[in-house]
Amino acid sequence: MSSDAEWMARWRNGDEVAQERLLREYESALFSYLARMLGSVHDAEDVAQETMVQVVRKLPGYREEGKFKGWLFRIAHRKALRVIRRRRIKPTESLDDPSRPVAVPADDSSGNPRVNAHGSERRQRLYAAMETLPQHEKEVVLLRIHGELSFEEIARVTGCPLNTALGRMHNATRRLRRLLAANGDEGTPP
Amino acid sequence: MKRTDDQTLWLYLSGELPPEETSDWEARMDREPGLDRRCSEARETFARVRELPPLTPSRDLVQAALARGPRSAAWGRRMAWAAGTVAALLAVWAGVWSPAPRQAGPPVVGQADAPPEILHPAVLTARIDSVRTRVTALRRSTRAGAAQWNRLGARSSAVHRRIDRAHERLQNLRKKIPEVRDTPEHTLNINQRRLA
Repeated sequence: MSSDAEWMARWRNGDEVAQERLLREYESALFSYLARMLGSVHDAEDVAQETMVQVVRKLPGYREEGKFKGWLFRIAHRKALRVIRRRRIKPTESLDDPSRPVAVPADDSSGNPRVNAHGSERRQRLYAAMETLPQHEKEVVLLRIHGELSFEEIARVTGCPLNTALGRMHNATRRLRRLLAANGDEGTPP
Repeated sequence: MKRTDDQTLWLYLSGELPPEETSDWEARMDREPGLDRRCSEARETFARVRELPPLTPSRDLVQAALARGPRSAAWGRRMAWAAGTVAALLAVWAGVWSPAPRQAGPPVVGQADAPPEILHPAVLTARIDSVRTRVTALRRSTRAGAAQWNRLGARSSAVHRRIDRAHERLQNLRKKIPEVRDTPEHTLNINQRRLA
């Protein structure tokens, strides 16, 4: 039995430590994925919290042992798509609008003087390149790097065939490689 | 389903390629320098993408989720009641509990002294047929509903696209406002309107 399955079994038996441990394990990965997918820290926090609440409520009836991470990201992904769709219907207009997306930093350490400027600039370039990817390619890359999901799981989360997920990953990396090279990123020749 | 080399490459890099295919793939990489180069490029770019560090939320999402926690037992009971009521209504509607259809046919076996639920096969068959007809009708209406849903979905996507285009046009117009405001024609127009 995998570690997640053990924790899920303990959770079902009413172990509150198991609940917290399992959610804590994926909190940062889930938040990072959502923040970069939605381009807004506030929206990402709301969606991540809603996802966790749904997981807490639905886990007693969930029977797919050992696939907790995939299930968690599947719920989060669906909720994120709903937010994106809502934004298309009602685009935010004013800078003072509280629901306006708050830009996601390229990293957590922007205020840390120990972080060297070169590294930060590199990450900014990478983040900018990621932002230019089409949504369906970006989600595959983000699920892979933040969720560390297998392509089989990514296909299940995004609801597309495995080969499509693989093709999107290939197109995304090719696009990123080209963009980074064009922006003078060392280590990524075109 | 057949995979392209680019798709197989990612399965290989993620360690998801089955062992028998992995050895074939590695043998091909040894033979074909182009494939080997594509593989290293993909690996390099992915390593670069992984430099995006994980982010930390500004509030404790786990505690907040656990505080909202599972729904109360009262909520569960209410939902069970609602589900039960719906199921009962459906059962009545489907005719499971409806009285046996009156029809001319062979008499019920042992009508005088047998318990009433023992029915003649002909009556049972008639009931089954009636339920089957209703199920078929339900299926047909579900299919029609699904088709309508799809049509609505397509129409909604078209509307979304139009909204996106209108929004884009609005943004472009907004950008042009300062340009128009600064032109002499605009100032002249305003002055003429004031004089009138």
